[in-house]
Amino acid sequence: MLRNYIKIAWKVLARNKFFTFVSLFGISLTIGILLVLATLFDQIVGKHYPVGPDDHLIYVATVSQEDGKGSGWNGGVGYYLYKNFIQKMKSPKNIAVISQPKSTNSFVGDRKITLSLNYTDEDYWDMHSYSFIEGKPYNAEHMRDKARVVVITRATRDSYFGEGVSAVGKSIETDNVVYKVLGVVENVSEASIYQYSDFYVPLTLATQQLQNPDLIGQFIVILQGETENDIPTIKEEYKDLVARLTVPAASQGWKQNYKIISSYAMSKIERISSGFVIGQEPQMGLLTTILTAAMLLFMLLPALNLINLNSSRISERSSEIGVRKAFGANSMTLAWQFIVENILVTLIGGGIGLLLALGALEIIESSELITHAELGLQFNVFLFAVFLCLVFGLLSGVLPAYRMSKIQVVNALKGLNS
Amino acid sequence: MIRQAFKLIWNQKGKHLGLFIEIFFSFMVLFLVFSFGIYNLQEFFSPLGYSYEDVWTISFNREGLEQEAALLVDEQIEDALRSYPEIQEFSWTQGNVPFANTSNTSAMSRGNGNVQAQRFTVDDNYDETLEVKLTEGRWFEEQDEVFEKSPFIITQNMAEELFPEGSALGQKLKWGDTEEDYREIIGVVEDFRYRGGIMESGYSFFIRKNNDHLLSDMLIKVTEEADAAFEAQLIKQLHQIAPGYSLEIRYIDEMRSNFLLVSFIPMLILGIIGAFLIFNVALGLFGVLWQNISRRKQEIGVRRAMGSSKAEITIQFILEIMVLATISLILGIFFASQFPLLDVFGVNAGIYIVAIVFAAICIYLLVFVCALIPSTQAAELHPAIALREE
Repeated sequence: MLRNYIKIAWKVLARNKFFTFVSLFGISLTIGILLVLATLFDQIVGKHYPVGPDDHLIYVATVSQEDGKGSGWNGGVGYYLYKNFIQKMKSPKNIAVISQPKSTNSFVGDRKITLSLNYTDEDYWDMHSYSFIEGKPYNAEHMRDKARVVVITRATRDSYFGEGVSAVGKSIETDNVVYKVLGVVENVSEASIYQYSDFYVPLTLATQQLQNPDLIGQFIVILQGETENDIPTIKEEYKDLVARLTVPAASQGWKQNYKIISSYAMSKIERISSGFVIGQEPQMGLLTTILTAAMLLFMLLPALNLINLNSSRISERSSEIGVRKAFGANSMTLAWQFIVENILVTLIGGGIGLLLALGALEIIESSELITHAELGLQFNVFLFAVFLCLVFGLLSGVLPAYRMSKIQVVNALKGLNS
Repeated sequence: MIRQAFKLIWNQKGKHLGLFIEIFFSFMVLFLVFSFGIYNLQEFFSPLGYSYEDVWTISFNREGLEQEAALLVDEQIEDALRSYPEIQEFSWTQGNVPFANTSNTSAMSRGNGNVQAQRFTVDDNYDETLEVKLTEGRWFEEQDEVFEKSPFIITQNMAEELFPEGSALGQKLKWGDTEEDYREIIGVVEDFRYRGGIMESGYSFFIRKNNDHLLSDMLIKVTEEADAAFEAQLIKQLHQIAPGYSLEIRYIDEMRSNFLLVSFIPMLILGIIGAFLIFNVALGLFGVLWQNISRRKQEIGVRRAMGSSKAEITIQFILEIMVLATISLILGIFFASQFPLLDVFGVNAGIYIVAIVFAAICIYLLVFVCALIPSTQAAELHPAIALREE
C-alpha cells in the first residue's frame, strides 16, 4: 500500500516540473533555515567541547541584591560566597570556579593580540573534557605556590609562538606579566559562554578578587552532578542555601540597604530563558512558547503557499479520485493517501534542506562569525529536521486532502472540482 | 468593470480565501522588514553629534584599590598622558563611551511625564576630546566644582521635547522619579548618538563627574602618528604607574565597525528571510494563477467568440487578482496602522507610513507580474480551440 503511494507520489512529482520545483524550493529553504538556527542555538545550550557528554554541569553565574523598591546591584558570584557557602554544598560531585573573562593585551613585535584571560581552580580541569595538544593542566600544588603558569589554547599558541610551534615550558607575556606555559588545549568555541577563554591561569593569582568581602563578585561557579538526575537535587540545595544568605557584615555601608538576595543554579538554556536578566528566575515555559510560536510563524507563509498550490492542483487528479471513489474507496482512505504523499514530498524537500543547511553552516564556520565554533550537524538537530518535515507535511497537506476527498464522484469523473 | 471583477472573486470566495490569507501575511512580513530596515538606515545616516576619528578608549579596573590611593594614581596617570605629544586631548567618563555595550539610562522630567535618556558622566574636557558642538549655553568648567549636585547639559532633541515653548537654558529638570532632585540646565548640545542611533533612546544628557566617584573609562584623542608601538609603550607606562590595575585600550573606530556589524547582522538575516519568503510566495502565486486561469478556458472561449479583445481578457484576469490583493491589503493596512496609532516602539510614525506604502507597492507589483504571464497566454488562445476543450 505504502509502496503504491510512494509510486504515485513520484509520478505526480515528475508530471509537472515547475510545481515540483516550487514545492521543493519552499520546503527545503524553510527546513534549511530552521536547521541552521537550531544548530546555532544548540551550540550555546548543548553539550559541546569542552563539556563532554558525561559532564553533567550546572552554573551559578549571577547574584543580585535588591531593596524591593527597584534599586539594587548585581554581578557574578563573589569569592566570599563561593568559599564560605557554595564550597560546602553536599550534593554536587565536584565544585569548580572560573572568573569572568578579562581582556588583556599581548605584544608580539609590533602586533597586538587581545587575549581573554580567565582564572580557574584545579577542579575546573577535572570536571571538563579538555583535549590537551601538549602539556597538562595546573594542579593543587601550582595553586598553593601561586605559580605563574598558564594553559593556553591552540589559537593563542599559533599567534604568539607561531603555527604548530611547541610552547610548553616557554614564557608568554600579557599585560606585562610573564607566565610559563604548562599546557596547550584545543580551541574553545565562543558559544561555550562560560568556558570560552584564550588563557587559563590559577585562581590564586587573582589576589584582589579573592579578598572581596561581598556576595557579588566576578566569578562563575560550576557544580557537577554524578548523573543528570542529580541536577534537580543540586538546584534545590542551592535554593535553600540562597534563602539562608544574609548580606555580609564586611560589605560597604550602601550595600547593606539591599537585603533581598537572589541567585539561581541554572543550566545554559535556563539562563537564556531568564532573558539574561540578573536575578530573574528561569522561565522555561515562556522560552518554549516563544520559540515554538516563532518557528510556526516562520513556517506559516511557506505552508500557506503549499496549501494554495496543492488545492489548486486538485483538478489535475480529479479523474483519478473519481475512479477510486467509484470503486469504493472512502474519503478517509483518499485523504490519508494525499497526506502521506505530501509528507513524502516534504521529506524529499527536507533532505535538500539538510544539504543546504550543511553548506550554510560550513560558510558560517569559515567566516569565524562565532570564534572557534565547529558547527557540525548534531544528531538531535537531525531528528528535529525529520520532526519539522512531518509537521510541515501535515500542516500543508490536511486541508487540500480534505477538499480532494470531498469531491462528488460524478463531478470528479467529469473533471470538475466542486 | 471593477465591480464585475469583485463579483467574480466573491462567487468563488471559498477558493480565494487561501490566496487572500497568503497575500495578507506577505504584506505583513514586507511591512515589518521595511519598517525595521528604513528605521535603521535613517538612523545610520543621521549625524552623530561628535567625532570618533583617532579617539581611543582606556578602561580601568582598579580591582578594589582604596579611594584615596586610587585618586593619587589617577593624577599620576593624567600627568603621564599630558607628557605624550601623541595625545592631543583626554577625558574621563563612565562606561558608555561611543559604541560600547554599556548603557546608563535615567528618567528625566519637568515634573509630569518623563523621557528615558542616556546619562553621560563626564569631565570638563569631554567636549574637546569628542568635538561635541554646543548650540546654547556652555560646557562644564572648573567653577562647577562648587556644586554638590552637578547641573545638566542636555541634547537639542531632548530640549525640544521637554521645552517646546522656548529655550531650555536656565530651566530646571528632575532626575529620576523617586526623589525631588531638580537641577539647572546650563548648556544644550547637538543631538548626541553614542551608538549611531541604533538601540538607544535618542535623548542624552551630561553631568559633571564628582570626586567621590572615580570614573572607570578614559577617552583619548591621539594624533595620526600614534600606532601599535605607541600603544604598547603607553600600556607599559600605565602598568608601571598602576601595577594592580587591569586596563584595556580599544579604538573607537574599530568598536564602531564591530558594533555596526553586530547590529546589521539581524537586519541582513531578516532581509534574507523576508526575500526568501516573498520569492517563495511569488512562485506559488504564479503556479496557482496559472492553474486557475487555464481551468477557465471555456469562459475565455465564450468571451472571445462574443467579440472581446485579447487585451480585455488579460485586463480582466489582472484586475481580478488586483481586487483580491486590495481586499487583503485593506486588512493588512488596518493591522499595520495599529503600530503608529498605538505607538508600540516609540518610533516616528512617518517610518511606518513609508513602510506601508513600500510594502503595498511591492504586493501590487508581485501579483501583477504573477498574473501577467498566465493571463496573456490564456488570451492568446484561439476561441475555437478554447471552446473545443469542453
